[in-house]
This record gives sequence, C-alpha cells and structure tokens, in this order.
Amino acid sequence: MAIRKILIANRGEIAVRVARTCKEMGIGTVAIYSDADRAALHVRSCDEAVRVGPPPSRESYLVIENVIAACKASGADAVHPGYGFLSENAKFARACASAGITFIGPPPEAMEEMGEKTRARRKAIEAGVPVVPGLKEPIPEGGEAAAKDSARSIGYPIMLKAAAGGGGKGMRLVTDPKDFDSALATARREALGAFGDGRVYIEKAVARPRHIEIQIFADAHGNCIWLGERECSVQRRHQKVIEETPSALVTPELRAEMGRVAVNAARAVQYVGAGTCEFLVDGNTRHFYFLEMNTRLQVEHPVTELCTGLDLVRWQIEIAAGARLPWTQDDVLRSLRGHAIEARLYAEDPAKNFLPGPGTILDLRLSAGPGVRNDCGVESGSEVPRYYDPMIGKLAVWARTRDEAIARLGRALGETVVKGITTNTAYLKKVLQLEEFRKGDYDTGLLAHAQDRLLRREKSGNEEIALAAAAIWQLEQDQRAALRQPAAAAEQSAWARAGRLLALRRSR
Amino acid sequence: MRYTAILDGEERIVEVTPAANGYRVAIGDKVFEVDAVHLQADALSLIVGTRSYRCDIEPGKDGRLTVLVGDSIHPLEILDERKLRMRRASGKFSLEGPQRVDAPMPGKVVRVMVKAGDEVQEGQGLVVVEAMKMENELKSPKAGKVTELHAVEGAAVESGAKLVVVV
Repeated sequence: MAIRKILIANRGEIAVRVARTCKEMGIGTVAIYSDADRAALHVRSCDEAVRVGPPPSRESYLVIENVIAACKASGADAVHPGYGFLSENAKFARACASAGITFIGPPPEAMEEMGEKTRARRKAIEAGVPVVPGLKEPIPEGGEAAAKDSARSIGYPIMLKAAAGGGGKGMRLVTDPKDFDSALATARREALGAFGDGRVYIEKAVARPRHIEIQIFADAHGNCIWLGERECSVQRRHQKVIEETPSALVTPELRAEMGRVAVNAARAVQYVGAGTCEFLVDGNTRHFYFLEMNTRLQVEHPVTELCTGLDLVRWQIEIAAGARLPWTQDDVLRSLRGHAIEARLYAEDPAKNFLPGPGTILDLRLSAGPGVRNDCGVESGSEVPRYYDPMIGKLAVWARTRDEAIARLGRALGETVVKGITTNTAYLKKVLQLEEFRKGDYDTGLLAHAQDRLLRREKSGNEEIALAAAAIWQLEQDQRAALRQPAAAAEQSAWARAGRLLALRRSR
Repeated sequence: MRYTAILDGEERIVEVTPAANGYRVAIGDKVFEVDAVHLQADALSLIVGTRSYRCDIEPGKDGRLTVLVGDSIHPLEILDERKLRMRRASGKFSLEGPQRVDAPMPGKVVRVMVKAGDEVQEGQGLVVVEAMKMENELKSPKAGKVTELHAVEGAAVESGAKLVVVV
C-alpha cells in the first residue's frame, strides 16, 4: 500500500518538519490552515493547502469532518497528525479509516488504551509496569468532595492531571488541601480548552522526580524496539523547555530495563508506529514509574534522531505503509552516539511571568554551523497568532559529549535573533549556565528553584555599546523624520531636498 | 545631538555627533569613536577600535528601545529634551490616583473575580485572561476600590483594552 500524498493535520514547526521528510521521500504534501494561518509558513511549505475553518482550533484544526473533507478535496491518501490537535484522537483515526485514508499512527484501539491516562495506568499495571500511586478513574462531575478525601488518603502533595492531556496543560500540583478546589477548577477548565475534554484525575507527586521517556517503534509484523531515552526534566509549570539524550542519570542497565518495560507496555496494546513511554524516575533511588504513553510523535523527537541517525517521520510513514522495521535492538544500541540537546523557543516574556506574546516577527535570524538543527514554524514577517501554542520553533544540537553539546547550544542560542516579539532565548541560555544543569544533577523542580537566578538582571558589560547603538539609531531616525517633515518651504523644491540629503550624507 | 538614556534605572547623558568615520559618542566623560553601518531591519554593525559588535534595535513605545548587543539584551529609553520633559511630568502620578488594569495581550476573559465597588488588596487577582491556551491572572496594582469593571466573562479582548479601574 504505497502512500503518494499526505495531508498534514497540523500547523507550525511540526507541519513544516513533516513536509520536509515527505519531500525527501517524493510524497505529495497537503497543508490545512485556519483563517489565522493563511500566511503561515507551513501553508507555503506544502504542495497544496486547504482551509479548515476560523481561527479557534476547536472550530478548525480540531474539526474531524473538516480535516477529512480536506483529504477528499486534495486526494490525500494518508494523514500525518503531528503532535497535539487530533494526533491522539481515536475517533479521528477511525474516521480516516472509514474514509479509506491511512492514519499515520497506531491503531485506534491502542490509542484508546494508552491515550487516556487512567486506562493506560490500568493497562500498564496489567503488563507488570510500575506506576505512581493514585486514583484510577477521572473525578466525576459532582464527585469533588469524595476526590478531595481520596487526595488526603493518597497523601499531599498530589498532582491533578487531564485524562486526555499532555504538555502540562490542565495539570496542577496541589501541596495543600485548601487549594484543592480552585486547582481542580483551573485544571478542568484548561483541559477542556486544550483537549475538548475536561476530565481530571489524581496522582501522588514523587520526590526529586526526573521526567525520562523512552522512544519506542513498532511495526505491524510484531517487531518492537526502543530507541533510547530523553530526559525532559527541565520544565516550567509541567511544560518541557529543554530536553536531552542520553540522560545524565541513566546507567546502561537502567536504560535497558526501562527500554524493556516500555516495549512490554507497547506490546500489551498491540502498538504500531512511533510511541513514547513517559516515566517518572526517583532521582535518589532510580526507581521508575510509568506515567503515560504518548501515541504520537513527540515535540522533542529531534534529539533521538540526532543520536540514532534515524528520521522518525520517515519510519512512521514507512510503517504506516506496511514496511517492517529494518533493525534489531542490537543495531540500535550500536548506532547510538554522542549527545543531543533541544531547546524550545517560545513567544513569551520571562520577565513578565512568561506572558505569551503574539505579534509579528519583524526579523528572524536562526543559528547554523556544525551540529545545529533548527525546526522552526515561522520566518521573518510571520505573524504569531494568539490562538495557538506559543512555541515558535526548536533548536537542537548534537556533539560528541554532553559538555560540548551544552557549549554548542549556548553558541547557537547566541546566534538566534528574533525581533518584533519577545522570546525566551536569553532565559534558555541562562538555564544552560545553571550549575545543576551543567552537572546533570537536576529534577523537574529545577526551573522553579532557580527562578531568582534565571530572572535576575545582570550587567552584560556591553551597556555603553548598547547606549551608543541606541543613540546612533535614534539620531538616524530623527534625521529621517526631519527629512519627511513638509515644514519648510524648501520642501517644495526637489532640488533643495536633494541638496539637504547630500549634505546629510557628507556630514556622516 | 544630546540624549538622555535610562538603562537599569540609571540616567546617562549620551551625546552623539557625526564624525569622519561614523560617529563620536560621548557617554559621561567617556568618548567612543564608533564606525557604524546600518543594516536592514534595524540592525547595526559597530566597530569600536578593533572590537566588532552586532547590535539590534527593537523600537517600542514612547522612546523605549530594546538593544541587543550580541546576545545580551538591554531594555532602555532614549529621550531628547522634549521627550524627557514629558516623561518627567508623567512620572509623578504613578500609583496615585486611579489605576487602569488593561489586557496585556489579545485574548479572552475567562474569569472575573471582583465586582464594581469591591475593596481590593495590592496583588489581589482581579481578572483571568486566557491567550495561547495559557491563563494569566491580572492583579491589582494597588490597594483600593474597584470603581470601573469592563471585563465580561467569555468576552474577547484586544491588547490594551481597559478591564478594571482601581482607585
């Protein structure tokens, strides 16, 4: 079953990234867009583009009928869902199947088993995978008081998590019972807004927790392998900020054990395609607990690609078309090399409590050079709409060792210039300089603990140069404004104007 | 041309004059001979002595600028005589009198936590605005009384829209 044309049911950097692989494979590409994204880069990155609705994602990117209609209008024979939006929606996968369109992802049954966190927990327990203590069912409407009692018996601190969720949306840490009610209300509202599903469940919070995940890949012929781990403990409010592989905490034995468990979990649901098992690892004891399985490509997949040399999107497509995995687990172990780190570029202002900052990008200059990879969904002149996630791109680097990779990422961040909107690039550089991060001795609380150090304004040593640049720029602005002003009679004469311009040029 | 610049809360006099090979810039008692080339999109290349600097200007409102030198960021204000007078005049009224709480960005009001006439504390949450899937709580800039309430739950708001006034 050959795939000839893929509709990419997403936007931003991931749509651009998937289109790149399709082009390399000689596969046609179809973009979808909302009215807010007509001018977006992903639309121009594809061979065809179909409008799916007004700006809010619930009325466009999340409308299954519109996406299926776009497939039919363009004659796409397969859909790549990217991450977020409909990527973990089994209904969508089924709708694709009944329309005769190949969904590039796992079978809908596997998505249902793993996509919903509470069901995934049950399935994991059945497969002998260790899990964090917690409630196995979402909190029902009207069951708030009973849930509060359960929270007390599990023991604070607890986590509230969206049943349909991922990416930190609809997730709240509650340390004190008195905050339970308001945290639950916020979590539900965020979950509803982000996933169209407001159900939330309770889990115990683990001490010194590290978020480490295993990438797995399975074909439809019963082969399943793991491709190493990704450490994603650098998080702000449960939103990943920096990811790396390998993890400084993981020993070869632990890696093999986590890999084995992840493959078991995948096999338990007859998984096919790319998937990720997320674990919470106790930073002291190295005990690990299954959190959830993401039944899609992850935002941070480039670090795995850099260290394995594989194109995961290519293999998602090959496997969806019925191919067999071409490697064994041993092949993968032999191919793992070096160290990769990714930093997420967000349109947000760290100095204003990370307030998202939509707007128009006046100038964008990305980094380049040895070992640098940019996955970016915008370019100079792009609008960052207020309707979607504020991530505008990802910067990933590869180097032989972790220290070299850190230095390389710092260098590349220094080359990155985004004007017109505020981004977190300077903040990311400061994270790389944190002692705990450099030593690899950190947990998911790193950014919260280091907040003061990260947000402190320090002297750069270039203050006078900045003042000189500002004054020169302002002077040139003032001179230009003076030339535009039609105040003097001289303005009537083009000769006089030319003379003034000439005099001005001479005076420089 | 003589400017007053404010950087990190400190006022500095910056005097810039065109010179043979660019500009002479005097900051306090220091003088720099600056070779400047203006590139597109408000980027400047400065050479001072043999040191080469990549500078980028991001113009903001009211003479506010963000100046990047390499990858270090400097939010500053650059004011001529007229703008300086205006700024000095407006600076006196901060936090006394009515305080407007505006939408910091376009988004949707998801929650209004006060009513007109409520007494509020400094830092107390007034309104929650959602944008880009994140909720942001807007807090009262001062202790006082809510005299105007324009925020409506569920309503879309533009950046800078007046939501609450606290007196």
